[in-house]
Amino acid sequence: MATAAMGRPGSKGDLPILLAPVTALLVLVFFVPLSFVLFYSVYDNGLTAKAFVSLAKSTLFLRVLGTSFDIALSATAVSLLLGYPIALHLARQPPRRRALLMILVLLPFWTSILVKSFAFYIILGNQGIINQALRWVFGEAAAVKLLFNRVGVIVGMSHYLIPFVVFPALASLLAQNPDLRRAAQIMGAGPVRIFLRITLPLSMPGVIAGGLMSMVISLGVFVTPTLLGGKADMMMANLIDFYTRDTLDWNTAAAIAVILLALSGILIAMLSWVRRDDGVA
Amino acid sequence: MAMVRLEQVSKRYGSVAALSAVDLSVDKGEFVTLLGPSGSGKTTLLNLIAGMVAASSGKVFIRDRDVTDVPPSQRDLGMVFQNYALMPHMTVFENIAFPLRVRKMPSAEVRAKVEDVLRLVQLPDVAQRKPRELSGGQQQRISIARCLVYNPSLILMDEPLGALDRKLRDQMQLEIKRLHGQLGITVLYVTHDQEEAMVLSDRICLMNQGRIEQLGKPAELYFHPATPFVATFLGESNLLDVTLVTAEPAAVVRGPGGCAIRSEKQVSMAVDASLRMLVRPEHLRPLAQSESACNEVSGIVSNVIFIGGITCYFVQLPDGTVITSRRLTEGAGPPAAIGSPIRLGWSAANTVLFPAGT
Ligand SMILES: Nc1ncnc2c1ncn2[C@@H]1O[C@H](COP(=O)(O)OP(=O)(O)OP(=O)(O)O)[C@@H](O)[C@H]1O
Ligand SMILES: [Mg+2]
Repeated sequence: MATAAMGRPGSKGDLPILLAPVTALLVLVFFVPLSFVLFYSVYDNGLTAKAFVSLAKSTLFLRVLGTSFDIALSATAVSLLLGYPIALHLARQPPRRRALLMILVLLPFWTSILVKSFAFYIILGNQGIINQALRWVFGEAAAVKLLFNRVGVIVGMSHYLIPFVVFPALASLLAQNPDLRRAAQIMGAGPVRIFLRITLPLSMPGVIAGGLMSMVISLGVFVTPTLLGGKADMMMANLIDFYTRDTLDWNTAAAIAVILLALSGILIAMLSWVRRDDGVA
Repeated sequence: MAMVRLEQVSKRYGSVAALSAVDLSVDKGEFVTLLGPSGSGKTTLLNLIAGMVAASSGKVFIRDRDVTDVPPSQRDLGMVFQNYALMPHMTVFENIAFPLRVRKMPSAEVRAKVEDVLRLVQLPDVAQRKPRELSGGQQQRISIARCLVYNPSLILMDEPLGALDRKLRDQMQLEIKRLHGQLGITVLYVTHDQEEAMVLSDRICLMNQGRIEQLGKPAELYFHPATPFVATFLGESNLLDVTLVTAEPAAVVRGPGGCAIRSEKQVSMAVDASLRMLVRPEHLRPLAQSESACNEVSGIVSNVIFIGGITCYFVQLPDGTVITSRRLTEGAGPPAAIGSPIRLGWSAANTVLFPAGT
């Protein structure tokens, strides 16, 4: 769209005017607060790096950092395992049917994360659907704890992340020349070999892109661990919340936010690198 | 032995008949071309043999085995695609080794075979490159090599040179012809370029609207076309409406302006029947005053076009039809000026007659 608009002769001058409102909004709600965060991370009655130094030694912070990566990686792995078959299925549908099914994949986005989290209480809770079914089949002792622990967090996050994994994977599946699969078939290859040697490797850029995106999103998650996790499932955003509201230590809170931002920045840089590589191939 | 044989094969897409009751047989070592206009069913026929589409009715045999319900991977075929269909994430070596790995060949043997076939297609040094690092012509050679390496019963090619420019096409045609002669492979080749079909084929299968219009050697199709469609599709042609005067032993017809035109073949039709007559432009010879020929028409030169080695004369007959004569250019200056009267002659052997309405 943007390139088409720019490519049209005489329309070049319109662009700054058209972009002005969104630029103003971004400056106001994004760059200004971000500057404050950057500033507070190195300011406490004068310029100082003490927040970063003490974080590097804080067992609490290091444990939360570890937990965050642990949860983000597990949630990403689960999302990929569940999302890839969906993408594969979508790629094999005729376009009309595919468009319909894609809307279903996007359905989780139509509901507030808060509402969805409470829905998970009904499904995963001690008196929830799953546990009632387990008790009914296997007796009283069969109930398992699915909520307020790691399982709850991973379930909730995967549910949110799957679309972010499905779409990039689908894009790289659809970009594959169908003649490659036909050629392999005629050369005698069976479906398993075709999947492992052609379909899967050619979809890796999309899988990696989806995985990185899912990592970026899950590292910054706040609501899901609060509502579905236990005490041990505190993540970076929850720690920031703790420092800002409970201890009023804005200096440390800002420093954690900057570290989180840097980590996301690195992942996004990797993402654009994968994308560029994808374009050349 | 017939490598591939089709028996009364039909394919319908809804109400469209892509193929209607086709019979075709390709012998071992033969090079057969499917030639025809767009939409005539060439790709459908090829995909049917490959097993990519299922026949609505009829049977497909490969090496006398009924493969009508056999999946593509079990048919022992090779296929060359117009877009090469090389695996972009594999090196040239891995691409060519792919069908051998499928066949569980030991690695040492794989390496030797790949090297041999790369030498055969005259690209011995590209094994470690990715397909995108090769030119279009080189990629097509690799995709041909990938078929040759496992020695399938039959190699199918669907417009393999369609994406290449004219010069490279000519070069690759000769390359494919050389490989066919050298290796004795059996090839079924799709093109809509009549010249390409003539250059390459042992036999041409001319298709039209899902049917085989004529199947035979290139010269047979050219000199003895079964229908006016074949005549106009292959080479230049003059078609005239004529009336039968004598049917046997050699047909004589009345042409434009009432002149008698002789042929060498008999016609099994009643006198006064309407016929269509074909004579190739290169068989029409401008006659000098003193000369005479077996068949003659006279008219007015309406245009002369000089195309280097060949000169085309457009001659308007008394009834208004324009016929073309193509001659090798001899000497300087046009022998016939526009507007001047001219007589064109040809021999009875070059008169081809068809029933009217075909
Ligand atoms: N998948 C399909 N669905 C419906 N109709 C089809 C399909 N494939 C082919 N056809 C129809 O079948 C007929 C033959 O098509 P085919 O592709 O075999 O032609 P072709 O001779 O290969 O033409 P071209 O030279 O353009 O490649 C056409 O009328 C086409 O529209
Ligand atoms: Mg075709």
